Amino acid sequence: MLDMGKVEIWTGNQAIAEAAIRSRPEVIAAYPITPSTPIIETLSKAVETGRLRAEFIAVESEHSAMAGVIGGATAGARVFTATSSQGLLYMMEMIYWAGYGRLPIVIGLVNRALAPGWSIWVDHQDAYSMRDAGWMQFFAKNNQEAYDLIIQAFKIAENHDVYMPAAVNIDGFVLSHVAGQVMPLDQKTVDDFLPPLNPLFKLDPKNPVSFGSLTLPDDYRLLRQDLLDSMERAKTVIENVSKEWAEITERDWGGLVEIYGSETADVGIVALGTIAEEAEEAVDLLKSQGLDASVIRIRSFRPFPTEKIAKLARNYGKLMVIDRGFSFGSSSPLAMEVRNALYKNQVKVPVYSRPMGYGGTDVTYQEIAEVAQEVFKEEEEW
Amino acid sequence: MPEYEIGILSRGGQGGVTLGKVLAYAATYDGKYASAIPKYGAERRGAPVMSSVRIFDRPVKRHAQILKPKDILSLDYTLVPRFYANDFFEGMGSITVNAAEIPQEYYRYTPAKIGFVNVQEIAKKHGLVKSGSTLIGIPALGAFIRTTNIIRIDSLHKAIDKMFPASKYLEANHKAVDECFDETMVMTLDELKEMKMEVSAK
Repeated sequence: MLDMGKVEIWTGNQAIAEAAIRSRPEVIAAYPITPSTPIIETLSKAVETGRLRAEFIAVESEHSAMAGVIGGATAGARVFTATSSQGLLYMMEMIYWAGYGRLPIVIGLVNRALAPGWSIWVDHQDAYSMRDAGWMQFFAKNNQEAYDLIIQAFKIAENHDVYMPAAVNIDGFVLSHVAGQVMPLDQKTVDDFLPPLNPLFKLDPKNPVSFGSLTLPDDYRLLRQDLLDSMERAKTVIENVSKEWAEITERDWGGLVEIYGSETADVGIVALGTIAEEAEEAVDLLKSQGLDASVIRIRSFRPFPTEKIAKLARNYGKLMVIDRGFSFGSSSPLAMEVRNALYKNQVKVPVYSRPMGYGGTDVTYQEIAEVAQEVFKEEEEW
Repeated sequence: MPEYEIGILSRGGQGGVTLGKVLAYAATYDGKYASAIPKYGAERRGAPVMSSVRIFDRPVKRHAQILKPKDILSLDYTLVPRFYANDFFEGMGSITVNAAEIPQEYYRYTPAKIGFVNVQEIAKKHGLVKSGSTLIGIPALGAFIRTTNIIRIDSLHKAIDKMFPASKYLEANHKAVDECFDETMVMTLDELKEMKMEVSAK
């Protein structure tokens, strides 16, 4: 039960901005874009009023926003920014620089469809565009989890076994502009959980080194191998940080994966973000109709919980993957991940890809239940 | 297990989105779970807007927009027929409307209750006027609570204090909320049916 006297009614954007403020970033460089703009506005105001002691750099583009936080992070500062959709695409060269450069940056990514056609509403195509940039990618299902994930993301990203950037994704408008109940944490609790950044390396005039210089093939290979290994280690760190968080806040969101319903069912519904929470309602509805389904919510898309999904999948008759994005010429990105996990571990469970909710299409629990009912009946083609 | 899906009909600029937030805070102070959904996308002054609120006694897991709210608050009485040409209430839910009497167009609807009060007049009386327009949104919530009993009026007052601590209209809003609450007439479905028969007999 919530202590209702302390609960705030915050939009997802407010929740992200407030969590960022609690995390005490030292540098914020940002450029506004719908639907993430209110995050930037809140942070800018917090710096202006002295609530947050940070350098706020109002830049002229998203490319510069990421370049700005790269500069800050390279100098050993904790940094934050936020963007969406076209803004992320414009930022992309620097996104790769941050990922391959191993800088523990945290970004609030408010998911929005890509143009054209021009859309300001949610899908996950923007997030998928940065899949291979060496970033961790987390997805929140509600505003409270968005708040919690920002603070956790700093801790995970700055862990020396991981040391890489992280994106916290929330669904545009569906979370960013919808006000939900959020229980904030006091500064001391956050400070105890998240100590100041201890840089693994940084620009230091007394001890000059160069970053991003020409790298010959053998060294390049070592750098990428290190990134691969760090992503693997991140899986354990994410699980541990989630557990620590649950002990402090009594809010257990699961680690890499959250299960709703039983760990064995006829159909497991795999999804990201708000659709996964909406699917919890669908599972309850299906149960009332005598159908046994569960939700397998992927909280961390990168690193992807390959082993965990393969292990879980053995307990389900079928998997139904709801995706809010595409990989043109192949199948949907989330279904690909799930199939890869199963194949790699020789788990023979049918995976049905049932994409929904592009470009802001509303997805109701009734619709999810209807699609699931068909999957229950499916016999062959998958 | 009460689950309320509420629609607030207003015109752009009347503060329908803010009202959703106030209602969500009020529900929170009542120990309930809530979320407030604005109309997404482009906003234009004067255009019809629906914002919606979910008030549940369990965590709100639904994120989709509410297309057919069962409890409606309309700041402008012309908006209900505009949004809902046909009745879908089936004896459940409610309409609360800013009107001195129940508009005849409303006879087609079959909610369990219709509450009505001239919010405009009450708001004006308490000096809730800014740049020529009357601030009816907050007072209308008093009428909504009277009609629906979804939350306690004390929780609404607490929510108003939380949301607008520095407003020069704070006291006036509190008073107007109470007056709207007191003055709201609530008709049940049976009473509505009688009224409808009387009108058609004439």
